[in-house]
Amino acid sequence: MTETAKPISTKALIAASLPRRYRAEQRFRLYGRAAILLAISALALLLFSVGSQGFTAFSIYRFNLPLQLDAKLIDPKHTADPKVIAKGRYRKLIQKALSDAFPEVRSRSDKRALYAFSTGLNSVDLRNQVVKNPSLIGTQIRFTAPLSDDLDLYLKGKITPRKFGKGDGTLTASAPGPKTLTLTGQPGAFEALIQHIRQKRLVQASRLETRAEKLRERIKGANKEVAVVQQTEIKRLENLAADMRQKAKEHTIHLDKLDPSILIDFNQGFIKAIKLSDHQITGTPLLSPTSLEPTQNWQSLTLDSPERARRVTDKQAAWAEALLARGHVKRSFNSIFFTHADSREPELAGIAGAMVGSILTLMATMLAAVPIGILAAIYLEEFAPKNRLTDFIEVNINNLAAVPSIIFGLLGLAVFLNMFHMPRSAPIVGGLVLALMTLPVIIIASRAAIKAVPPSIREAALGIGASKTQTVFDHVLPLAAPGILTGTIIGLARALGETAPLLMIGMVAFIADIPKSLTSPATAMPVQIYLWASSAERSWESRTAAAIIILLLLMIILNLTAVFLRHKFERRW
Amino acid sequence: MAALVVVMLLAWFNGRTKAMASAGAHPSTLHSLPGYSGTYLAIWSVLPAFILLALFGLFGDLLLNLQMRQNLPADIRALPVEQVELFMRNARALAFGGTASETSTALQEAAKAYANLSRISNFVVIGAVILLTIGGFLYARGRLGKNFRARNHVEAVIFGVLVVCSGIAILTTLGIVLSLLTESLRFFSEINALDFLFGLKWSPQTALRADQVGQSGSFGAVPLFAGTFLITFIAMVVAAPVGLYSAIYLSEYAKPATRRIVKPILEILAGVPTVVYGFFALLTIGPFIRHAAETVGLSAQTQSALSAGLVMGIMIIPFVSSLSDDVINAVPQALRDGSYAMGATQAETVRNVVFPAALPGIMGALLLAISRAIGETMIVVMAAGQSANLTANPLEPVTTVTVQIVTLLTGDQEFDSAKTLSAFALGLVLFIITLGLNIVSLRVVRKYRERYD
Repeated sequence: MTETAKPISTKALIAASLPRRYRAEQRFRLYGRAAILLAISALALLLFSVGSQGFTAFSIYRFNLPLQLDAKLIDPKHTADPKVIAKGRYRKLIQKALSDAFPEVRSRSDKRALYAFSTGLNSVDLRNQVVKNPSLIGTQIRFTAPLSDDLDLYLKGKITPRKFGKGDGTLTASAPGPKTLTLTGQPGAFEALIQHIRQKRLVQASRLETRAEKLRERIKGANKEVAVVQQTEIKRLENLAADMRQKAKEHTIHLDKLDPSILIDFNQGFIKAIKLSDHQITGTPLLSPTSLEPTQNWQSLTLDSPERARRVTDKQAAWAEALLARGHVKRSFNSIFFTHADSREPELAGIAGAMVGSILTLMATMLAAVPIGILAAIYLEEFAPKNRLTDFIEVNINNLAAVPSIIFGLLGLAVFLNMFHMPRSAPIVGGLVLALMTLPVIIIASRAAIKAVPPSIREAALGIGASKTQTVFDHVLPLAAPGILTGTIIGLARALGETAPLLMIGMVAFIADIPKSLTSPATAMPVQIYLWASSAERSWESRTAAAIIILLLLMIILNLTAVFLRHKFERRW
Repeated sequence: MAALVVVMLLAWFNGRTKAMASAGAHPSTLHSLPGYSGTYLAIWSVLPAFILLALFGLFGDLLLNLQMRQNLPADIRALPVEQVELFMRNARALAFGGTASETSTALQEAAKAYANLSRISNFVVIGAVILLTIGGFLYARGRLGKNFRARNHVEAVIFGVLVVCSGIAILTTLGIVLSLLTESLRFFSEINALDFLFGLKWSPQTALRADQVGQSGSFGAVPLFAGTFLITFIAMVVAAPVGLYSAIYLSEYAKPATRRIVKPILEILAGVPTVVYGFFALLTIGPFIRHAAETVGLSAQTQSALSAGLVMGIMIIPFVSSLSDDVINAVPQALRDGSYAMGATQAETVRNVVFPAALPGIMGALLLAISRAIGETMIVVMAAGQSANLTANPLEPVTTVTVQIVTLLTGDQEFDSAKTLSAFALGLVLFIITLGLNIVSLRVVRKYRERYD
């Protein structure tokens, strides 16, 4: 049957297969490109997410208020005794300054909300100022301190975006009751706000509907009892959604607790809208306007997340806006972050302590690892006989370079802390542990550098009568120095970013002072990052990211130095 | 210390002058350069004293402790170990101005004895140091002279220092092995090794007092091994293809200019501190995965094996890619040329010729990457969770060996409880596994390199 089939020539076979093979070729290349792209975009995403979270922490909102240093609260008996002055009620003074800014705040809960603008620890700063300069007592000073972290986040728009709408036309006010205020504008003045609320309600409704839908999907296979329970839940969700849709159609909007907050900035006061029609707003004043004169100069502030879902109340928001408008709150460079050590309050926390700790640790690492590493490399490369022992050392070093860093931490804990009773949390112990860890890196890099020096150098030195030691130390080592230095810096940069071994030897403690010596308790930059990252409050996030930015910058500087040195001194033989 | 430095400088100058003087008008007749004589004298006056000081610094405390323990009253020595430890700690605190948790007359006595002993030992050591310094100085000075071979002696010392320095690498390994072994043996004397290795339940909370309930403390490490394995597996699923394909593309296809730019960028991934990856996993990847899982109707937590594994995979991409890159580059060009000559396309050459030839080396690279992933700590501590879950679901939080070591050893606790000792047992397991992987992979890579060299 087949004998008639014409033998297909190999050439034709190949030609037929070529398109397929070329497509495979293209695909293969594409995979390669995709892999590289994936890796690079992962890096970009990492840097972007850290960068975008971190940069806000480099500025901070500070309040700046006139503060009466009342002698009655500091030194009632005029003793002028520093001990008495140090025990003054500075916290109270700051609170007074805050309530002076808003005299209308009377109720206890409101006052507490207002005092939350300043952390209690700010009083330490005030006390130090007064103790240093007791003549201030009885005078009025301007007191500047960081705003508490929640308010800081609010003003940065991180809690919920602050959406301002420029007012359109003249707004007149009337007060039908003691706690209500009616604002009337031109027709359509509030149309945009109404649309916004309607849209939000519709979004909310469809979100509820999808949730109901998902539940419905899920109970299809479930048993009867569960289905009954879920059925009521579905019903509830659907009712809520229908209610929402209905409310979105309202002609006059009645804002409730699920809606965004709308604040109207009117004559330096803030009115929270309760009822909203296209030209009229009825609401409660959060902060009373200075007058009820009609004005064209008004604006609306919309906070999308409902009040009970955020950590800053509408009142606090109104006060913060007012302080900002009066110039009592200003955004400025966050110098605290660079000059303070760790603190329980995010707004007072800084990386100076961790930075000094890192520098001290790295110093100890360098003092221990660099000489030992270089000398060991010299021995192994120049002097060591080729025997079992040196082979063993070599295998050893290669393996040590790949031992997980946490094992070095265990070693440090068992040997340095428990056997030699060195102090816990001290940079010297951390430095030694990191030194053991970087030693193999330095040895390997130094050996490579020494090996790269050509034998002619050695032979020339030996030829004019230098001893072996003189040859190595006076001729080979200087020529290998740039390579050794590069390897050393890269090793130290890695040590700078290492966290796990430091956790083992107790450098994770909360330390609120900048360490002063190699034996005082300290943390290091990466450990500080770890500590902050495990804190719950939102405002730590940006500070963690900012600390990461600093750490990465330090590492980049170290690595660039290494690259620069290599380019400057590199010598090809 | 400062005194020793001054003595050293003085001795150096003295030795140098003496050597010059001994040569008289012809310094060239000296055997060694005068500087060597100075160094010789300096070494002899300082080194013995320094060694003594270092030994005292390292072991003085230990000896003092032992001595104290011998002298403790019998009734205290009869107490259980922890209480003796506590007593000693309090005595130390009282003697050196710390804060003791309690005071009693016996404690006061002990503290006084302690302080005395420490004062005496300090005096003895300082005296010995001074004697050694003077003795060494005089002995060495007596030997200096015109024909004295100062250089050879100095070089011998330098040689000794070099040997000691390279021995530190061995000492470190020895220290690791010994410290892990001794603590692990103490742990295994309390808990059966088989229960540890094959037990299915991990809850290291042991009862502090006998009457506490619900604190049984079970040390079955299988959930930890499973968690470690799961995360390592996910990481390798990410890193192996991405790393390999990048290596292939970079070494076979990319133009030199592209290579020059892309390679360092990939290396940056290896240089980013792991705590940064942990932060990234916790705040970016974790929430993203939870969100994505919820939109498909799965439940997930922010801390999950998946987020830790993905991020760890990103971290080890450069390990895989740069090692495989080296390996692929080492494949001789002749193999490729032969394949091209047969009419194979470039992709076919890579897949059927270069890749099989490089396979042993690539396996070595992957093993090294696995060992790196197993030993990685910070990413999993921050992103994988702490609960010992025995699960294969990557969306659930799991815990790993390294996470447990960290949680067991951070915070203040007694050093002798089974809970803290178990961390060392885990460390031992970790060390053995990673060491095994390293040895195998290093050997494979080296063998492979020799084949084509």
